Amino acid sequence: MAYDNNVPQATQTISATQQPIHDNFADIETLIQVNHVGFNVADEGKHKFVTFPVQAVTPVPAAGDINFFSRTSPYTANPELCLSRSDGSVTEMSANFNNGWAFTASGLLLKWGTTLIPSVATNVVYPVAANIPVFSQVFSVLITVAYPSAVDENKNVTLIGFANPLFFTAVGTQRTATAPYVGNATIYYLALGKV
Amino acid sequence: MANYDNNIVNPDDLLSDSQSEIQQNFQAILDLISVNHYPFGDPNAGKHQFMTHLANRGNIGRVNPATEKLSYGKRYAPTNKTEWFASTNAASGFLLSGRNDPFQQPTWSMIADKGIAVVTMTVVAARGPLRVIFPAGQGIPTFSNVLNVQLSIESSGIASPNNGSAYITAFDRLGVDVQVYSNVAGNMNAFGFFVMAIGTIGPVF
Repeated sequence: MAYDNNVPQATQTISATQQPIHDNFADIETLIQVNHVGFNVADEGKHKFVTFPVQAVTPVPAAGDINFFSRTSPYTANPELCLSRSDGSVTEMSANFNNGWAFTASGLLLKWGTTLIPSVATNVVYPVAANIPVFSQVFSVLITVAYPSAVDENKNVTLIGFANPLFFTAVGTQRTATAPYVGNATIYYLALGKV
Repeated sequence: MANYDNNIVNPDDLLSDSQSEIQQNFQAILDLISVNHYPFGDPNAGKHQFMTHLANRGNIGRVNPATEKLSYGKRYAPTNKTEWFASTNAASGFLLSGRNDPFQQPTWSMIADKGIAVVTMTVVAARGPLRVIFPAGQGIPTFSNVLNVQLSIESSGIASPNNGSAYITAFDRLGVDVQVYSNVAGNMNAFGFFVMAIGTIGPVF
């Protein structure tokens, strides 16, 4: 029977109220056992795990509190774990794709990849897609030159800047001189920023 | 919200005495379950709509067994906000959700469990040895231990860099020692590098 918070009634006899009360106790036990350790065993009341059905509206907590909840990510289209604060801000903590980006639990957005840099100033545009979050500000870009041929290619790549959140700019020179090199240098990059 | 009374019913109660008390308790149970959880009768009954962590201001004073992980909220002085913590059975909490606010350069941000944070900063370099101190203040906590440091050369908008390079000679929890080289003698003013340091800032208490 469905839980009834309006039992027993004053006009009822014990024989009439015993079953509704019994049903309520059973309903309480059934509900508590969802996500939680149930009555009369060690650890009762603790969480075995926490299930967050997707919320359409952000649950905003009271001042000073924080809320954990799940929403459908605009980036992954999957349920993702989020943290909300009393100012209505939301940090998406679990979203990531295996295509070069991830959020940390603090909301830091990481993007990484590999590309080719010639000996002229070159803009490296971060990948754009509906399921890739866009930087509003980049805090740092780190690049490492790779020699896929496993021999010294005498190439060095220097950042020129990353003020534009859509790309960073880099240029290559020879490692032993300021002269240009022939072809491209392969680099790996890691960019840190926020949405 | 109805008051729950765990001292009902009593042996000598008449039903007329206990009826309202029992009903009040059922109401109180319904009220409590409806906080954070889907209530009775819902297809998701017992699951969490969301989970609120209150702003504990002191040590929560709970030592959980070694086989458990404790999740809680606590006011964190550097951010002046309630942040998300997880603790082990050592009664020490590790920060999970902190970052500087406004979120800007220099940056610090928690990136993983066990109090692991990242700090990034920009350094303008001159040729020779250089001691780079990790930023302090602005809500940036001090590392208790630094695990890794990365440098990336930057030419401050100059498209013809003078082959500057920077090498780490040592690092500790307060900063990194760097040796800066260039193939070109002379002006190094338009030369710099970015620092990314990964380390721990916990346990917090």
